[in-house]
Parts: sequence; structure tokens; C-alpha cells
Amino acid sequence: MDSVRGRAWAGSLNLRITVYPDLLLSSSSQCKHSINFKVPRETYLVFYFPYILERIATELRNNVTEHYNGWWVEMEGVPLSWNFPVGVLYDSLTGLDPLLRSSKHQSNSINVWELTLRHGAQSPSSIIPIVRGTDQIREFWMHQWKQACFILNGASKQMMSLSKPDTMKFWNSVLRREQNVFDAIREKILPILENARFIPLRVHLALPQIRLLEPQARVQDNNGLTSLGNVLNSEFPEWFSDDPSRPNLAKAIIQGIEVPLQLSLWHLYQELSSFDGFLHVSLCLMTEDASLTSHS
Amino acid sequence: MSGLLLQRLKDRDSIEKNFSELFNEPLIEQKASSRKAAEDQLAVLKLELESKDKEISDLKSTLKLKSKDTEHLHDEIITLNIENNLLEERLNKTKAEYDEIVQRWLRKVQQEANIMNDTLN
Amino acid sequence: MSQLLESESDAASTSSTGESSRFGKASYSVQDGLEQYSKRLSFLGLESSGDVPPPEDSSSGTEASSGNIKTESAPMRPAPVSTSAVLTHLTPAGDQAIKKFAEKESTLPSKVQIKFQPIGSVPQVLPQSARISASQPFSVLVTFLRKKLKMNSIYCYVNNSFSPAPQQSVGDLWRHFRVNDELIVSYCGGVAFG
Repeated sequence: MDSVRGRAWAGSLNLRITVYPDLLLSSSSQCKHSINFKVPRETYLVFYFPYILERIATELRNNVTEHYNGWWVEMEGVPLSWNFPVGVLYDSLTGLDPLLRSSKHQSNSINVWELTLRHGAQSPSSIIPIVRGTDQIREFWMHQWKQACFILNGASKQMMSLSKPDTMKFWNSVLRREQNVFDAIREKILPILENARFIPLRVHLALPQIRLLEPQARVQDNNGLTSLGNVLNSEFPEWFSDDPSRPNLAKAIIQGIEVPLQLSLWHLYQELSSFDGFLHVSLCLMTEDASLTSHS
Repeated sequence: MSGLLLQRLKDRDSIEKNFSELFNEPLIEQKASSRKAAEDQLAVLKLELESKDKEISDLKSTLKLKSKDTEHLHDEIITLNIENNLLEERLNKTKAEYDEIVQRWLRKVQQEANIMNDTLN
Repeated sequence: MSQLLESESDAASTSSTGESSRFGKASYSVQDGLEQYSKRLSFLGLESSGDVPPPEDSSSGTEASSGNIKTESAPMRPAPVSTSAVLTHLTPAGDQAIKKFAEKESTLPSKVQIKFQPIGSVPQVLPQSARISASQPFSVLVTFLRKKLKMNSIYCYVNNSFSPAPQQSVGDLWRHFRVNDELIVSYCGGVAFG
């Protein structure tokens, strides 16, 4: 069945990960420096570190002793914070403009995100060091959900009162990519519209520099449901005007698509929120060519 | 409005999934899941082992019983065989005895007849 | 007299000095961050006016009971080059907008009140309340506590329920989760709320 939620969950990205030259054996051959694979948009990239390392281990100068700690990937020298969904990182760091991209797309072109694998005793400050493997990743993810739950419900109670088996099922559904299991447990955390307070919303900026913002976004006010445009206008009046006659200077990208600003956050949250409980929005600044082709 | 979102997701996928079959999608949970599966299987197999063990011990006791029966029957057969042999021996002896008696009788009758004939003649 | 608590930003504490030379090509010191920031400012056509770290006013004498966590400016994280290339293709209005936004960001030294609460056997950090610039990421608070208490690992929670992503700004957390205009941060030497 084709649904927005199903497509949002199933989206994938093609990756090409190239090993940073200094990490390689000098005898290693050029063709083995990169590996290609695809990942779901809705996952943490760090899950794939053991896989990446397994595939390139023979080409590395040093033995692989740690599968998480000390490793990170970069785009053009900019380290990727693993603690956001891959799709969100892609949208924000590449400044994705879906319309511009599809205008350049041809039936024989491949969309590949090129990244570099790095290693160092000390990881960059934008990356949380992983010292306790998958347990730490799970705990981090749980705390993201607790925070999202707090924002939605005003307390983390719904999250805390999940039974132990449910909690593990929830986590495993992320690892095993089982949407029906995931959605069933998510239902237990999400409030009904009347009880919902705020939307767990995160705005990712790449320009003028990489920034994460978490604006307060009420589910509804006196005028009804809050729209995405309302929030963006009050947070970023420079780019999003409340005057319909004045064009916006940026686009809101969620799950790799441009989202109409008049849609309610509540609706968008139901359909397009990520596996960490947040609705991630990336802002794409409009260029001269893009504003000519704008359609929203 | 969902229709628009869906259309845009489809457009997204048509770009992001173009030729994506060339890229394999690794399972992240390989280790954990295969171990979990292995553990599940182990539990199932252990249950099966238990039932097989029980079945074996049942069968063993049945077998023991049967072999006892067989032994018993075997003994019986031997006994009967011996008895049969004895009886046959006796039968043969009796038969021979009978035959001899018949012969003797015939001879005696013959003698009597001869005597009678001789007397008549 | 006000108490000034000196604390470096997270970027400073993880400067490149600890990296081995093999892997040490990338450096993330504050110095570099500032350098790149001023490059970016000149790219944006703004004056790099030398006071990039918002000047810490020493007139905080009114906050007698509360500390003042002094920090460097929030770590700068420039975007990938091919992405920031769009900056040269912006419409005049877009160009104007990003300048305005950058200006707003740099003149945003508004401070928020934090209250520290120990969990279990860890000592109370003094002063109990502190003020910190809203644009700082949460990780700065963690680093601050770790240094102040001389502990190797520390777990921090908001409202005794969850620990936020380290990249989140303290200001955003304060806006969402403040209680009586204070962001309550509890801390512990081990995992307290799984």
C-alpha cells in the first residue's frame, strides 16, 4: 500500500564512502578505497560503522579494534553528527533543493552521496564519542524519545511507562526496519490532538553555518492548528514572510521533499516525523535559479 | 494535501532510488539478529531434544519388554521343539511297534489261514 | 562581587592537540573556528569587528548568588563547500536576509538561568545557579560540570527525565523545559534515568 508514512519510512540514499588516504596501507589498490551501499533515510549512520569497517578492514594500516569510537564520516571535511537521521543530514548538509535536483535528473543518472571515513584518537567536537557501543546509541535514542514525549505531552510519562519488552521491541523495530511494530508502539506515546501541547520540531540550518534549532511550536492556538509557516515566520522572519505577496527566500525540506508551509505541524508530524520522535526540517536557501522555478 | 506529499515523495524516490539496486543494503542487525535467531532456534531444538529423549526412553523400555517377550517366546519355542522331537521319536517308535504288531498279526493270521487250509485240504 | 566561572567552549576542550599526527589533519580548535568564522564574515561582506566572542560584561554584580558561566562564542561549524556555494547565487533579497540572520545570531548574547541539582552521592556544584549564554550548546554545560567537579564522566538530565542531544542550544532547552524561569539540570556520576 502506498502511503506518505510508508514512503517516508522506506526512503533510502545511495552512499559512497571513501576511506581517508592516511588510514590506508600504501600497497592498497585504488579501487578498494571506496565502498558503495545504500542506507535508509530513517536510521543512524553509525549503525553501519561495523559493516563499513568489516568491508575495508584489509585495506587499513591498523587493525580495527573499535567499531564505533574514534570513527566518523565527513562530507567535504565537515564531520557528520551521527545522532541525527541520515536523511536529515543529507537534506541539510547538501542544502537539498528537491525541485532543482529533479530538474537536473535524467533517467540514467544516479544520486550518490559521497562521504569520507575518518579516524582519530579524538573525534571532532560535533560528534558524540561512542564508548559503550550499541547500548549507548540505544540510550541516546531513548532519551531523544523521552524529550520528544515531554514536548508533546508535558511529561515523559508515556515513554517511561512503556513495558520493558515494548521498549526493546520499539528499539528492535528501528534496527530491523519493521514499520508496523514501530508505529504500533509510537501510537502509545503520541497524545490525541486535544492533549497535545507542542510539536517536537527541529530545524537544521547549514548556512550561514551549521546550526540546530528547536523552536517552541504549539500544536494549536486560538486560530486553530499551527502551520509550519507560522513557526518558520516567527523564528526566521528574514526568510519566511507572513505577507503572502512577498515571496519566501527559503524552502522547508522534510524527508527530502519540499513541504507546503500552510500544512499544519500536527499533520506533518503524524506523516513525516522521524524515528527519533522529532519532525526534522531542513532549510534550503533559494538561489536565483531556484527562485525562478519555485512552485510553492 | 496528503496526495501532494505522496507525489513529492514519489518524485524523491524516483531520483534517490534510480539504480539503487546497484547498491546493496546491508543489515545492521546481522550479528544481533542472527544471534537472536540462533538463540531462539536453540531453545526450540532443546525442547525437541527433550521430547526425543523421552521418546527414546519410552522406546527403550518398550524394546526391553519386547526383547523379554521375545526371549520368553524363544524359550518356549525351544521347549516345544524338544517336546516335539520327543513326541516324534515316540511316534516313530510307536509306529514301528504298530507296524511290527500288524506284521506279526498278519503273519499269525496267515499262519492260521494256512493251518485252516491245511485242515480243509 | 560576582563570581565568574571560567569555562571554555566544548570546541576548545577537544582541540586538535590530542590527535595523533597521522589523523590530525583536521583541527577543530577555537582558533580555527574563529578564523573560519571571520573568513565567512568577510565572505558575507560583514565587518569582522574583532569582538566576535560576545564581550562579557562585568556588570553582573547584581547576580550575587548566581554564577556566570563565561564561554567562548558557540563553536562555529561551517557548511560543506559545495553547499555554501549557493551563497554566491542568492537573490539580492536572499543575500540581505542571510546577512540579517548572521547579525541577529552574533548579537544574541542573551543569557538564561540554569540550576544544577546533584543526584545521589555527587557533590553539589557551587554556585547552584548559573547564567549562560543562550546560544551555547548543551555540551558546554556537561564540560563545565565535568571540569568543575573533576569527574571523568558525568550524566546530565533535564527535568529529571531525559538527556538532550549535545548540539542543542541551552536557550532552546530553556524555552521548552524551564521551571520558574530556570532550566533544571540534574547530574550524576552514573546512569540515573535509563
